Amino acid sequence: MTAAVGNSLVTPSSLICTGVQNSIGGVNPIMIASAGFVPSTITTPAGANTPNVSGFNGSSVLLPAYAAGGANVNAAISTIYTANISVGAICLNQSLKSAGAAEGELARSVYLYIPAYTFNPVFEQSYLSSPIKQIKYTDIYQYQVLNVPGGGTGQFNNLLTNGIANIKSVLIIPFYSTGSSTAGTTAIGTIIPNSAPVLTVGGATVSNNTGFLNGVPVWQSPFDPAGCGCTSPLISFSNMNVQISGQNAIYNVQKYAFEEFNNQLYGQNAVNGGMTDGLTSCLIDRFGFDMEYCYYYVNVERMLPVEQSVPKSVQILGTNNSNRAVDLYCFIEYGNDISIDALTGARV
Amino acid sequence: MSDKLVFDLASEVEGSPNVFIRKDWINILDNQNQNYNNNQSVLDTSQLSNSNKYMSYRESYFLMPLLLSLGQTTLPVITQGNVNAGAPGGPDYLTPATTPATKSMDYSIGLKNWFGQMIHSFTLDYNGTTIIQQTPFVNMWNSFKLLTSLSYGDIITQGSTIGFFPDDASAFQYQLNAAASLVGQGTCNNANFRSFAQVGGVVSSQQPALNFNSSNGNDGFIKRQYVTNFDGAGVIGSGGLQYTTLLASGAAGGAGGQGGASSYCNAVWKSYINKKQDQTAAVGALIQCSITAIVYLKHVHSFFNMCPLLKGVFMKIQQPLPQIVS
Repeated sequence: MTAAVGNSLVTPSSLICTGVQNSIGGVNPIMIASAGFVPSTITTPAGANTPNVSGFNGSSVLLPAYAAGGANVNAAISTIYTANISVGAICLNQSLKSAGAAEGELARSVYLYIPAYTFNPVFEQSYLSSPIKQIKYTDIYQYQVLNVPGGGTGQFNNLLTNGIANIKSVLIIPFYSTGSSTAGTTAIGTIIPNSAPVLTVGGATVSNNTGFLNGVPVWQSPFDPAGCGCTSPLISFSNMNVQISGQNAIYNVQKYAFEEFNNQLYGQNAVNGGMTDGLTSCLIDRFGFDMEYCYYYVNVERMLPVEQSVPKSVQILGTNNSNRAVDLYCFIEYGNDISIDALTGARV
Repeated sequence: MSDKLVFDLASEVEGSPNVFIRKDWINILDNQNQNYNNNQSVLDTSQLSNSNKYMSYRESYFLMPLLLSLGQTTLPVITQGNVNAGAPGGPDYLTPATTPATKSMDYSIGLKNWFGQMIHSFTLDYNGTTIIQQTPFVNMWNSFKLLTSLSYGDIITQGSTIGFFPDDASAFQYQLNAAASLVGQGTCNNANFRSFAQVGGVVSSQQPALNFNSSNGNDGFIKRQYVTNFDGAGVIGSGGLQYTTLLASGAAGGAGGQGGASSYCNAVWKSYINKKQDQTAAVGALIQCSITAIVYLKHVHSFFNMCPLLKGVFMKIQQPLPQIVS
C-alpha cells in the first residue's frame, strides 16, 4: 500500500509505503514517483507560484492538496493507494478491481516470437556436414550472506560453496540489510550494528538501517531501483578477495575502489573486453560504481582445461566500508555444455 | 589510414548467393489460456519442432503483456474543511480523467529498469530433460549482464523495446527521519523531474545547496515512463490539440476516456494509458497502463544466446510470474 498523507494547509507531507506483496518473492518492478517537488515551491520570473508542474513530477498530484486560505483543514488526512502489476490483461488485485480497474486492451497472453529459417540447400549441406553442435553456455548459483555489519569494522569471510566445477566468475551485489525488529533509535551517521533498531515513520515501522519498511528488503521498495540494476548506494569493500579452493583469485587483496573497478569490473562482458578505444560497451562507469552500481565482480575462469572438471570451493572475504549493515547477494557463474544434433534436435 | 579499407571494399566480390531462402517470424502462445492467477507461464515449442524449419532461439523474444495499475483503494475521510475542497471536483478530489491539466496521474507510476525484471526464476526442459534449473533472482544477474554488455547505442536502439534506461546513479536520496518525507522511505531514486540551479532569481528549484546531485531527477526513470504512459489526452500544441487529433478515431469516450488513442493503440499493441478514472464520493481515482513488454530470451539465459540454428527441438519453458502489490 502506498499512502499519501497531507496534514497542513497547503503542502502535503509524506509518501509512505505500508506494505509490499510479491506472489513469488523477488524484486518489485514498480516504481512510485517522488512527490518531492510540490507546486508551491516553483516560482516564475515574477515570483508568483505556478501550480502546474505537479502533473509532471508524478506523485505530488496524488496527495490531497488543500485550498490555500481555506477555512480550516483536517489535522491529518490520508489517501491509500494500491499499485499492482499483473501479467496478462487482467488486474489480479481484488482491491483495484473493486475500485474499477479495467482489463488491458493489448495482448492477453505471453507469446514467444521466433524466426524460422529455410536454408539454401547448398548451405544447408555445409551446415549439416558436422550436425552435432556443442552448446557451451553458463549458468548461475545464487547465495546470500546476510547482515554484514557496517562502519568499516564489519568483516565478512564466508564459504559460499564447497564445490562447483568450471567456475567462471563470482559476483557480489550488496544491499542495505533489512535489519531486525529491535525497538529504539540510532542517530543518523552512526554505525549500524547487526540488529538495527526500528523507527516509526508516519505509522509505518521502518528499519533504522534501510529506512524502508522493517523486514522488507530494499529491492521490494517502490521508491528504490535496487535489485533492478542498482545496488544500495555508496557501498564499498576493502581488503576484499575471492578464494577458489583456498587460493586467492586477486593477487593482492583489493583495497581501493579503483582497483576493483579497473582491474576486475571494467571490460567484463564488454565488446573486445573494453580494450579498443572507440569500440566498446558497458554502462557502468567509475562514477556509477562509486555511487549506486556497487557491483563486485571477479573473473575466476582462468585455469587449465584439466582443472575445469574439478569442483572447487568459493569463499569471499572483505570489509564493509559502508555505515549501513549490508546483505550480500552472491552469484557464482559456472560453465556448462550440451551436444545437440542440429538436424533432429536430439540431445547427443 | 582508411586506404586499406577502401581497397578491400573495392575488391569485394558482389553477388554472393543467399544463405537462406526464407525467414518467417512465427509466434506461439503459452499454455495458460490467458489465465495468470497461478503466477506462472508455461510455454512449449511442440508447434515449432514439427515445422521442419531451423529455429533461431538467439533472436527470439517473449512478448509479455503487463497491466500496471495505481488507484485509491481507501478514500480519504474528510471530516471538515472548506466546501470546495471537500466536494467532488474540489482540490481534495483527484480527477485525472476530466482535469488532466492539473490532476494528471500519468507520471506518478512507472517501472524499474528492464521488463525482464518480471522473470524472477526460470526453468528449461530440453526434450524432456531439465537443463536449466530454477535459480531465484536471475533478474539481478541478468541486469548486471545487460549493464556490462550493452552500450549507449543499445539504449538508443533497444531501450524502449526492452524497457531499459538505467537509473541515474547520483540522483538518489536517503530518508531516515522520524518525520515522513514526500519522496518516500529509505533509499529513493524516484524523482522524475530535473530541477535547475537558481540563476539570478529567474528560475528557482527545491534543490538545496551542497547536496551534490541528490534528488535532481532520475533521467532513466522518466524515459521508462515515456515508454509506458502514452496518453491520448496529452496536449501537442499551444492550441490545446490532443494526440487523439492525429490518431484513428475509436468510439467516442472509449476505454478510459481515451477515445481515438485507445483504438489506435489497441490496433497496434502500443503501450499506453488505457484507463483514467476520476475520484467521486463512491470510488477512488485510478490510472492503468497497458504495456507490451518485450524480453529477449538471450537476455534471460546465456543458453539461448549460444544456441545454433536447430530443427525438431522440443523445449518447455516455465517462468514463475509475480503479481506485485505495493
